[in-house]
Amino acid sequence: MVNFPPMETLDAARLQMAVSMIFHIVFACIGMVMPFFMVVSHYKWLKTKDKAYLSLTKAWQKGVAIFFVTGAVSGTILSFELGLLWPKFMLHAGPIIGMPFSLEGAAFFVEAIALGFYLYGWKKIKNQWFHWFTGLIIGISGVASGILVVSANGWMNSPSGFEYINGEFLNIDPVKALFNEAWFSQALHMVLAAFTATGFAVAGIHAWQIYLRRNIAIHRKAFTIALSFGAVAALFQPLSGDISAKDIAVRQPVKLAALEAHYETGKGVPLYIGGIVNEEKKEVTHKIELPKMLSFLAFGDFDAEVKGLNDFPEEDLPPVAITHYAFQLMVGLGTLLALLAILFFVSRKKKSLLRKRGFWLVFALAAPLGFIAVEAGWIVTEVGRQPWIIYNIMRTKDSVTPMEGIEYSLFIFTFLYILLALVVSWLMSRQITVFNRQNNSR
Amino acid sequence: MTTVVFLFLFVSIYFYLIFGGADFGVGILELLSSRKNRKVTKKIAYQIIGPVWEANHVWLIIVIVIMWIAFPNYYYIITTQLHIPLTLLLFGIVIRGTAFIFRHYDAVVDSSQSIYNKLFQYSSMVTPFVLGVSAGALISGKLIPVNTMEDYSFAEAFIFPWFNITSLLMGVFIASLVAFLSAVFLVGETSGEEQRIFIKRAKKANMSVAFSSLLIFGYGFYAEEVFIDHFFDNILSIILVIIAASLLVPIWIYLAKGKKVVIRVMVAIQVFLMLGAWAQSNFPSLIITTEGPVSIYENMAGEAVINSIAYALLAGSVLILPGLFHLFKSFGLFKVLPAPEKK
Repeated sequence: MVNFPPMETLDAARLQMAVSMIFHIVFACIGMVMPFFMVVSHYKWLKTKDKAYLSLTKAWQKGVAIFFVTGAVSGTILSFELGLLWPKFMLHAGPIIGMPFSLEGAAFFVEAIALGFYLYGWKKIKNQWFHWFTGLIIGISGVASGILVVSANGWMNSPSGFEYINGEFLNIDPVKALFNEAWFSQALHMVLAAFTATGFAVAGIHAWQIYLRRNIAIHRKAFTIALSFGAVAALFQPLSGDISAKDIAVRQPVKLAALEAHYETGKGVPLYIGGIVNEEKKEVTHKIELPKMLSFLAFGDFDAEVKGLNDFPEEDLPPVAITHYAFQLMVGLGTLLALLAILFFVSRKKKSLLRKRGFWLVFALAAPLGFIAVEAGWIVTEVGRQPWIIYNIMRTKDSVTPMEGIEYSLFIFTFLYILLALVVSWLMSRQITVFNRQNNSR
Repeated sequence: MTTVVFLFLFVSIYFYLIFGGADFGVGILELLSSRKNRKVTKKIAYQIIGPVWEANHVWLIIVIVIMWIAFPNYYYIITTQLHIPLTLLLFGIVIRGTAFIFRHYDAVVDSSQSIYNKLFQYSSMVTPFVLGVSAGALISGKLIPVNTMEDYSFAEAFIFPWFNITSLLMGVFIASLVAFLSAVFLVGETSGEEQRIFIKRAKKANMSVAFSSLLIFGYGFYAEEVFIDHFFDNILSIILVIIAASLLVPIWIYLAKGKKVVIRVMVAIQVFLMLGAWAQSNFPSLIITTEGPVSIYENMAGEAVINSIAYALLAGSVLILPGLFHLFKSFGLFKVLPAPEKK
């Protein structure tokens, strides 16, 4: 028998939250962005009466239904888990960040209603443009939900809308909490990320089908719609990343220092690319240094002073290595996707590219990259905020549930999520097989 | 504004109970059906519940969000001590929702369908049961006041609050109730032989509802539970329960005749009365602990928070209710209500 060391409730709870978020974010992004692809394809069907667009719309609609449900149930889990795992956090933060959550509830409700109309309305709704419009509502309310939830997360990074006096949260102003300083940069970054990740993932799946020479005509239509969204978002993302970096440089300097693994305070400090972090010795080896770039990127001034990790109290430091690696991964993948976006736009002009199989293979291989970047980005923002659950106000360890044995619920939830992910992937592959078969026989 | 929030909380619980409940009930009916009838139930379930089931379950999220925003102290007690049943509830919700959609949208119809069916049916049974158990825990008098939690053992703090006779009976009660709701609902959607099946099913479920509620009261008397005192100290709640109980007679008569509109309305009223009696008799102490009732006014969120959530709810409902109404209307689920004005 192997004896595992007993797991601390705090670690188990953090892991369970992480696992839930990692899965939810994928389902939620797809559920939020795919309706737009579906609506565009639907629009083209109504305008051109090209049957290919109709069958594409119907195929994507099934994807939307499946991902909406998995997104909705995993979101329900998260809304409970906030209380189940972090009851002290919710006891105080619940009323303050209630505004985005209650509005999110409303947006989610609208989305569910619109989804009901759309999915079941093909024959029932007489006005086909109204039917199309309900599809658009799904997408818009989905994005609204996403922005609101991210705003709540923004509040954890940049708590506002209350006065913290002697451990009590007084004079609560929910509207101010909703429009906390982090909400805009975070929401912008997340919405663009969702479009990038989903666009590249969906386009990648269709590119793979084209690479395999299956129903090339229809998959190319799908590829173009999905990647048009993904590529535009990918090109804007570096800009939004710059806004975020400048934002946290001011608001959460310790997070900036952690994600750059920047230990020594100094002026005109370099930016590290890659590198291995040694948290014990507080140093980074094997890195590439870009002189003065960190100062420039953080403050727009090559000689600006950037505070290093050594100047923050030990107990306020987040895990540096994870944050740094995740950040590197996110930025690296984001850059790669932006380059692929350019390749895509070039291919719109230079059609000869589309005849090369390698072109399709590249995009097929890029399918998961956007989501890996999204996950890495959430690791940066969540791990980078530690040890705080509410930045500079409440520590994560002080908010965890007194319930024991959280590791068991962690195991079961992890199992459930992995199973769910496998089943959803399997269902998607079946959808594609059937889709190919149907469109062949026609 | 506090009243508005209470009202929304009540209405959301009510809608979740009748709409979400009917939706759970379909799964229970499917589970308890013979092989032949199961097919019929399943087919009707798609037609009826497909378009609206997502919306039905959003009510639960609304309830949770109202709880944590406006009544954080209650939410704290519930999420810490009812950790286990709530976790089971989550498993149930996930499995049920995904199985329902998967069986509908799986591109290939093969043996995997029977797995989806099983998962859907069993989780439809377990989920309302644990929901009932959690609701029962609030009045069972076994929850412990938060500030003294360190003085209690693990079992006392995290198991007994919900693993007790009142809670478990509540679980049975809620599971029977949703099966009843759903059977009544399906009576209205069928005719002939199929309808007779659901009439029979509705009667059985109804007996189970009546029996379990008698058991809850009986046990409450026997164990001298606080919720029984609350109930008998409150004339209005007694009247509400008496009306609700006496509605059973016409419900059975009209059920036998297959009058779909009348029974739906009456059953909806009945549930309303029962929920009303519960709220009325316990309000404002909706949670009863080992050391007596805890008022919902204790540690309620501040005025600014209550106002903001009230406005958010009002604004949201302006947006949501017409849409929801149209959704129900479009898919013929509103036959029971006075015909809405033609567009």
